[in-house]
Amino acid sequence: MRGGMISAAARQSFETVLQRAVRARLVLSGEPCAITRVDVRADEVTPDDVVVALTISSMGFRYMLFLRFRGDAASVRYFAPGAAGDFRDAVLELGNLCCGAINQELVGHFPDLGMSTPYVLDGHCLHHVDSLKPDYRADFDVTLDAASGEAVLVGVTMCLFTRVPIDFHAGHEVEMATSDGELELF
Amino acid sequence: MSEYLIGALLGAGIVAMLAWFAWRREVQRTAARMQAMQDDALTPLQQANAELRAELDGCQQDMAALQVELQGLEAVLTEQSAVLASRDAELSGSRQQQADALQQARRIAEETARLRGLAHTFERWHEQMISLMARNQAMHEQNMELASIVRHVVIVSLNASIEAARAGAAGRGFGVVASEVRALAARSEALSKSYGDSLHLSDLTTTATFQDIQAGGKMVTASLASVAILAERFEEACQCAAA
Repeated sequence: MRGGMISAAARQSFETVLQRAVRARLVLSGEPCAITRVDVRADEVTPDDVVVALTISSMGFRYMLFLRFRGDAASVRYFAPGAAGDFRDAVLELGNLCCGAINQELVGHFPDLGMSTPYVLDGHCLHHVDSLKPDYRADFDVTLDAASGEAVLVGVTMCLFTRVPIDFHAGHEVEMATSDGELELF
Repeated sequence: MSEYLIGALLGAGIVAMLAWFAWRREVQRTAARMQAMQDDALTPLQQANAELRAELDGCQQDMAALQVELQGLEAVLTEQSAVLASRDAELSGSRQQQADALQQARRIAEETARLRGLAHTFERWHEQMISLMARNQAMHEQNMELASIVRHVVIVSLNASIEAARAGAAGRGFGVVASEVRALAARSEALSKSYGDSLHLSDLTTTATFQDIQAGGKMVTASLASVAILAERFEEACQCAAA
């Protein structure tokens, strides 16, 4: 663990950037959105859960984002209102948009960045995130109050792996271009 | 008679003397007039001569000044020639440098274009990753099949234990075997679960590794594209400078 290489300002900035991206991309119709920092994600994984993994790489560090979408009825209705079969594709694209927004904001501070395509993992994989030995990890619970009255829950995990000292200040929110971060095939 | 002759001679002498005086006076007058005329003619000539001499002196001075100026100009010319020669040498060196720079710029552009081929390498890694993940998925399915078999074995061993108990003393040996089978099934179940965990860890590690390679590849590709643009501009600038 080289967590000491990431300054407190940088940790706070990464979290701020993540929260901005979540609010910008996962909130589809302006619903209230609560983002809560959690210490350890110990809740039970269900077979319907879809974990979308994405990576942003730079020369000195990499950033991994795991978005755990629950496969419950409320989530399916919210993210894929058309047909349940589209749920996986819908959350893949949303994950891509969310990570694209993070990438867009980070590229202002770190000029050489590249972003992976999204990949779907089994929910059980999240139990092994610590085995990757991240230098910094932050978990959040995102609660969206959907119009149907049912809360939609999304688990967000952010990991940072670095070989160089990182220090930056995210600053004020910037307007995100709608064209960036769309699903890109490798 | 002689008196007359002497008188005549005397008269003639006097006339002759008068005539001589008159002639002489006329000669003197003529000479004076001629002298005056000569003087009149000589004065402008002398003035002109003096003017010409003065002019000549001025010209000689001008010539001397021009000579000095000419020498100065010759010195300047020599200096300028040396500077020009130096500039020529510099220009020649500069042209050579430009030609070298242009050649370097072309080489950089060619190298950058060649490195774009890295995209194929990244694509190959992508294919291998997909293949690895597909193999992981197949192992997940095999493990689930194994877990299903193990659960079935547990049920069968339980049934065997029940039947052994029903058989009483005769089924005691069979009961021991059934119990052993159940214990083996429990160990297999634990092993299958552990194997499943390992596969999930493997999925995560493989995905993290591949995504880092993929994202890093895109970073390299983007950086190369920037370098290619810079190399192109550099080449254009070299061409403009050489033209």
